[in-house]
Amino acid sequence: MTALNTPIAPARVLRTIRPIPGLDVVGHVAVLLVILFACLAAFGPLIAPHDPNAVNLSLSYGGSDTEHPIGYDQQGRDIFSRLLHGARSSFLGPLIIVAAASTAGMTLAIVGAWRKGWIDATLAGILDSSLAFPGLLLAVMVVAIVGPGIQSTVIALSIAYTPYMARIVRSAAITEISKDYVAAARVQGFSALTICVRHVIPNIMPIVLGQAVLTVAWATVDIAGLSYLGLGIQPPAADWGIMLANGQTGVLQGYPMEAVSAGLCLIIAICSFSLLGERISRRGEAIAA
Amino acid sequence: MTSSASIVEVSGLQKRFGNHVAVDDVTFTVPEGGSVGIVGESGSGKTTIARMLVGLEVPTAGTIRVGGRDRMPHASVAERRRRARELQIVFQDPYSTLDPRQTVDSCLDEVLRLHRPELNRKGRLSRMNDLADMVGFDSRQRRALPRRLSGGQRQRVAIARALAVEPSAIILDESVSALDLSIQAQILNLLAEIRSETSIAYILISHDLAVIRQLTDTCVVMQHGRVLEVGETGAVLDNPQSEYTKLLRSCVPGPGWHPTRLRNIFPGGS
Repeated sequence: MTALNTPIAPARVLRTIRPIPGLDVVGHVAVLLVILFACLAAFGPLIAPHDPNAVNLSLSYGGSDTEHPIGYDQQGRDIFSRLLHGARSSFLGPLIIVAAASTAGMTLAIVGAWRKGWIDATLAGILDSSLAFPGLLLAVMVVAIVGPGIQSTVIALSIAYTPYMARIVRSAAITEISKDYVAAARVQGFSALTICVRHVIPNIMPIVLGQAVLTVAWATVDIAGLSYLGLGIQPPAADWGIMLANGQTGVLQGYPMEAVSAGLCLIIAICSFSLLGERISRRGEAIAA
Repeated sequence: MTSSASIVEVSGLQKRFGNHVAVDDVTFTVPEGGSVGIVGESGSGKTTIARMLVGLEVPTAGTIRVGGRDRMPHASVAERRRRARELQIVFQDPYSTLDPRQTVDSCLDEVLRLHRPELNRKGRLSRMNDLADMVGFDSRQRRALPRRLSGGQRQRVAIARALAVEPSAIILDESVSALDLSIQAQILNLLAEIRSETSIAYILISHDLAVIRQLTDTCVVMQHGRVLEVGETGAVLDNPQSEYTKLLRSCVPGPGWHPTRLRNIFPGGS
């Protein structure tokens, strides 16, 4: 056939991309933006045109030119390259937090939901009371003891987000475990671990995923906030929170580009993660109902 | 009745939930290859008995002997697998009885992997073919997820899943109650066929006297967690000794039946 020999036109590639069923326009925009930010975090440092830490004080607050589309910061560093490098450090922390909190929260919730009785009551009590501590406060406390740095804040926030994750997973897991197919598997002699891994976890995954995406948004705000305060990621690393803090002096002197560009990146990223997370959660609840 | 050994022996079984006694002093036996019905209204403790038999609930008092061995709580993994090969259960609700993410074939395959580890892929496939034939599934249905199947089809999958273990007895806990009459008849015929082909024993739990009559030899009538009457099914249903069994019988709609007649029997009912 001749059709097979013709080169693939861009229009044909576009036609293979279909809208995701059941997702509205805002959701699609959010998906695209999340993919964009994921690519930035993965490849940003590779495609950055300049060294993010190359200081040139003669170019302090220099305006944009063809090589430096957003211009220079106070120390004459290329803002665009710093934004691209910042994507990775701004998302890596939240990603580790979400992975850790999801794993820990899911394990605690499923153990509680499976064992029921006093084990569940004790776990639920501990988790509910730990919800009373704001995560950010816990992180600040850990920093006060251990000293500033990304490791201590990531560990503190992972612990702080675990109860949020566990609470949502627990109610979904209780519903799932009470279903007859789980009882049938028990009667057939499957072990609790097998039933949970093969049946319960895949069925509650949409709810876990939705909550995880939402948590990425919250954790990004927290990490950026802590970095802004000088408690999280430390300068001179390129990070959106640090750029926001550094850019403050520029705003006062009439050079707002650094603060505005970093702030916009944060706002767009956080909004798209929140909007997508909400939609996944809602869908998960609809499926579970 | 034959005098063969019994597969299930229940004696003095009791279950309390807090202050509520759900099952009290229940005793009955199921002979090997026999078929025993348990009838009673909703809340009479039928399902609790079933759940205790398969180990999903722990009895407060009394003993359950299956295959001549006592069923104690907290069994080892090997012991639970052995128990699985003695007693299987098919539940009432066809909509939650299957994992929504699992096709019919993968559901059966999972069970065969656990209970017939000696079979290779080919062996499991041939066993799956047998099981699917037994419950009347074609190859397209076998690749389907549960949401593509009707209630009756799902119950047939649940039956095939229970049969895959090759148990000595199957508990059918209201397994046909949620289905409409023609599908109910199909499943009942299927169960009767399976019993004539294999030497499997049934414990049939139902509130439907017609179902009990069709499939069981012996029947146990229960009310408020207690056994009121035990006997040969035909005799119990045709010539009931207890007032309650007479009442159950009179609740079955038939020619000339009218709910107002029940007013005389149910004091205070409207």
